[in-house]
Amino acid sequence: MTIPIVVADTSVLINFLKIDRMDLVGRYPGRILATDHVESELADDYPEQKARYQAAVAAGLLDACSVTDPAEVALFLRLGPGVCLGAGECSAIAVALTRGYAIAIDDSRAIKVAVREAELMGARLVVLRTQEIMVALIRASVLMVEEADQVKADWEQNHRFRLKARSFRDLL
Amino acid sequence: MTEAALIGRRIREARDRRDISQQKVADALGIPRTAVTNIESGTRNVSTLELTRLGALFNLPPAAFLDGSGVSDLAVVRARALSEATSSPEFGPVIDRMIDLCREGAELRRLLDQDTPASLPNYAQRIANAGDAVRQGEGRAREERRRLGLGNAPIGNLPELIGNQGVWVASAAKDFPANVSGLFLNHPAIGMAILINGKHKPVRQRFSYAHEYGHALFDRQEELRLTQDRNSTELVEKRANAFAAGFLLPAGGVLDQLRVLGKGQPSRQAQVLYSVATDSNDEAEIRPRTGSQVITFQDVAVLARHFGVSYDAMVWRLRNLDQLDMPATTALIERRDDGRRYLKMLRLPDLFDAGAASDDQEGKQEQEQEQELRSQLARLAIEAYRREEVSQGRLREIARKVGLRATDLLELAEAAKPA
Repeated sequence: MTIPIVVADTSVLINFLKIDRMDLVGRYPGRILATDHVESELADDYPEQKARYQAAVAAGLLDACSVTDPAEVALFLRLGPGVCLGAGECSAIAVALTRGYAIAIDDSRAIKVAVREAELMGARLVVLRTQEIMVALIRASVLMVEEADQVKADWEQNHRFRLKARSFRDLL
Repeated sequence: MTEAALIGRRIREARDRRDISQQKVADALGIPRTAVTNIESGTRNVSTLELTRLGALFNLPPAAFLDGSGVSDLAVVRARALSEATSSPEFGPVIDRMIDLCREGAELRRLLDQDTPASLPNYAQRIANAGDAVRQGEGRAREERRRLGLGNAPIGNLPELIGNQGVWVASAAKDFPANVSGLFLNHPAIGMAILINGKHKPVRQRFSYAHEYGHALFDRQEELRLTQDRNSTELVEKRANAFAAGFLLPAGGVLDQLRVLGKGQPSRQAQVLYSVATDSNDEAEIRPRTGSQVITFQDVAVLARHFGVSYDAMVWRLRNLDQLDMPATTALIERRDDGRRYLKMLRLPDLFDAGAASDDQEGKQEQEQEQELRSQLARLAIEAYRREEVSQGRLREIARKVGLRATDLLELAEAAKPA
């Protein structure tokens, strides 16, 4: 069976980095891949999270890659980084669409662009938000609902990240 | 030509235009210089992160390396600005940053359908001679004050007022040529922008803002105009000076303030009174006490402080309003040291043009230089995020570029979204 691969954008990874729970990313039932923009963005905007990210990559909890394939670079540039989307988001979308991977991204605008581009390319694109990553962890029995709800409470109370559902139980 | 070769060529063009060495590019990317040579020749693939960093180094959107947009067009404006300010090759990065920030703002405006900013009047008019330049400048300054509802009052935050008219405004101190007091840019890709020499004293900067605003109103058909000592005799510069003086120092306001100080009355004032006893008119003459109407250096200092202009600018405005004859004007200019001592004694801000800003002022100015532009961009960015026109990643990039904490901007933008 092919292991699903998900390209994760900073917006999703930062949620796990803030609460120092990259172990959850490592438990995801598939491989998580991040472009080198993630580390660069963390260095610029979240320096305290950068060490956690590097440790997670070193521990093999996720893979990091540089995007140099001409087709991916061309798609990255076509997506217009620096207009509606950031460069990191464009790189993640370009890799996901070109290689046929899923994408983990929270931003609504970026999701709209990714979906529209997939339609233009006639490609299938699976989009996961942080919430869906958590649900996938629960469904894979590597995370209990109670623990997931504690994580949700931590996000809401300490990191201004809110999910609409009252409990992950409601999403199963 | 392959896409890699095309991108490589665009990178080399952008680097050449900025006169940046391959080594500097290599250092910025953290790769050997030979790798830069290979990227430029199209024999080494460039990564998306490298393209992003090159964009930051050259102040260009990464997409410019694919379609060439912004690489050649605005580069012409940049080259002209540099060639006109020949004394300072370091001026390049200052202009690059201004152009880059304005392009960010223009892009945000476009996303928000605000790309036609507030209708700024166009006062373009042919100038016949110096007198004509002064007449036009003063007349339009009155009109502009009326349009903006300013009455005769002093103008508080001038950069904000100009910014609200849809003109990008900023000042810069580092590497700004000493002989240039400001510049005005007008380009379809960015709109109108004013950049002021931040090394000058705040009062001189205010005059420069007003002067460049005059160019925005009169001379916007020009893509670029530098205000520097060597073009100060041009008629358009005289007109912009007259506009600045009239805009910052409205005649009515100056005369009102003079009256508050008990000055500015004519030496003789004929009065005709109706006498009820005789049912006829009674004539009288009011003569102020000898010497009471003389405008002194402390009057000038107080007026200059009231309107936020320099001591010298105030003296010349009083002369222009016929409140001083030429000998009195010269005498007051010569007494500027007394004016300075007077303000120092009262611990009031220095209003003198001469010399650069003090260390203390410079530190403060460093923080305030891009304040208006930063505020304009932050407002547009939050609004664009609220309307889902830009993403989180884009918002973080904008925050980084204007020197704001990305987490702060993102949290505030989130807070602006409907619950």
